Amino acid sequence: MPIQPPRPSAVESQVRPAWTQPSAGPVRPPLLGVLEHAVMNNLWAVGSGEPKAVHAAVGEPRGITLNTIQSTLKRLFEKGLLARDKVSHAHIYRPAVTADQFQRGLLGELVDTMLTHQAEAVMSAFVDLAERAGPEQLARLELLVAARRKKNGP
Amino acid sequence: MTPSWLGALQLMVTAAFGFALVGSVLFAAITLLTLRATAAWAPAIRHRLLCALAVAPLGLALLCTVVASLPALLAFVEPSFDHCLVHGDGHPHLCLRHLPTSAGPLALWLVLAIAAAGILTALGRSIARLRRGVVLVRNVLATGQLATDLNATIVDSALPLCLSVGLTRPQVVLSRQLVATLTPQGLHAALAHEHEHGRRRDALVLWGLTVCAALHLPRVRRRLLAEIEVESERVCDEAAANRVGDRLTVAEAILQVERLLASSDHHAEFAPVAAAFGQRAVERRVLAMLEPPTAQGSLRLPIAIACSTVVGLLLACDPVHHVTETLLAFVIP
Repeated sequence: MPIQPPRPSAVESQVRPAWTQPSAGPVRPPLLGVLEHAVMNNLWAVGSGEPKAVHAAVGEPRGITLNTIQSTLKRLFEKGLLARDKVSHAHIYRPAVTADQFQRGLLGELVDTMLTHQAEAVMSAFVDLAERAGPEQLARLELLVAARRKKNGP
Repeated sequence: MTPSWLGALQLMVTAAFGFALVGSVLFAAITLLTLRATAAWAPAIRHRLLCALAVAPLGLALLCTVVASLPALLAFVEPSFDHCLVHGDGHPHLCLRHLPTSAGPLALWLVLAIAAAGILTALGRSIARLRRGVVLVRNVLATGQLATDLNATIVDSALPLCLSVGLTRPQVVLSRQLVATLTPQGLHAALAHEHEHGRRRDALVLWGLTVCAALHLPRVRRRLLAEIEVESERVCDEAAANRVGDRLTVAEAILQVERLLASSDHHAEFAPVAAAFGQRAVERRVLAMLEPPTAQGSLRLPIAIACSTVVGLLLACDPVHHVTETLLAFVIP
């Protein structure tokens, strides 16, 4: 008779984070530190894990204690990025959002900060996101460039 | 600190605020004239001149404060330079040897405190935005994939993004959509442009200028900073054109990215706003790429004017000191 895995005694998952909703608006995704990123990357790769497993994969190579990993997992759970199931006395953590959703949230904020000119110090775009040429002016410029290209040759 | 030292401090701070006010009005006129007179200058030269103009009111206020306080500072170090006895007592003395007898009017302290609080709040907000921006950029870089052949980080986005991100060690971020859509030459041009931004630390410079230009009148400051941003884009366009060996390729890449942004899902957010042809950054950059590079403009005259001003003010430190004391008498009887 196959051994059944222990059933979770309690499931603790946050409500889906607001910034992952389609109408997220100005809600910002939580920003992560280096260790938090490493933990999320590990859980995105393996699907789920208890603190000891995460510590073996992320903590030990960095010389970080199990306690630090446990508090990092708890912080990520509080930020809404992880969900957890209580199995016996241990928590099993799993991502509450996919890596794609998280990256989309970050890029959304990145674009928002550029549109509102709040990030001049840390980023600049090849073409300013906050200022668009109108369709007629764009077409006129394209014609000018095409004419010059024709004149100069390829 | 005794009350008399507080009184001396109030005199110095009031003088500094007064000089700041004079500087902002004076440089509003100079900035507007300069923007018009240097419109055809080479972007690298114009960028340097505009950067200097951005910090000029702050520089002038600091210089004038030092110059006006110089006789007092000299007398504090060497008593034989004491000057207070050579002129009348009809005004407050900007002096560290003959300190005021009181801490100064409370109302003036209130005004100075409000002004200082406003400056510190604006600075605090700017630093907070900067800190969040730095962490955001670190997060974006951590979730992307490093493409060593392009020396850039690739992210999944439906937008055609080509960004230079980071404060002290900027890196280039490209969206997969842009890599898939741009021509190889166009991508090369866009990368060269952004790597030049990184090499020049343009974003960091702009943040510093945003803080230092705080003494400009708001409208002048906005216009000046916008012009500096456009000029830094043009400098990087010139560098990209040199790298790819063709100015038209840079113009085509700018237009291609502009076209992709206009047709993106975020169309409403990226909606155009009204402006005359040739006035927008993109238009100015494209039109500049259609012309041969210009070497017009020189910093010799502005440098000569700046040096003469510094030397002239230092030589005239006594009259400046006395005029400052006379004017302070209107505020602090």
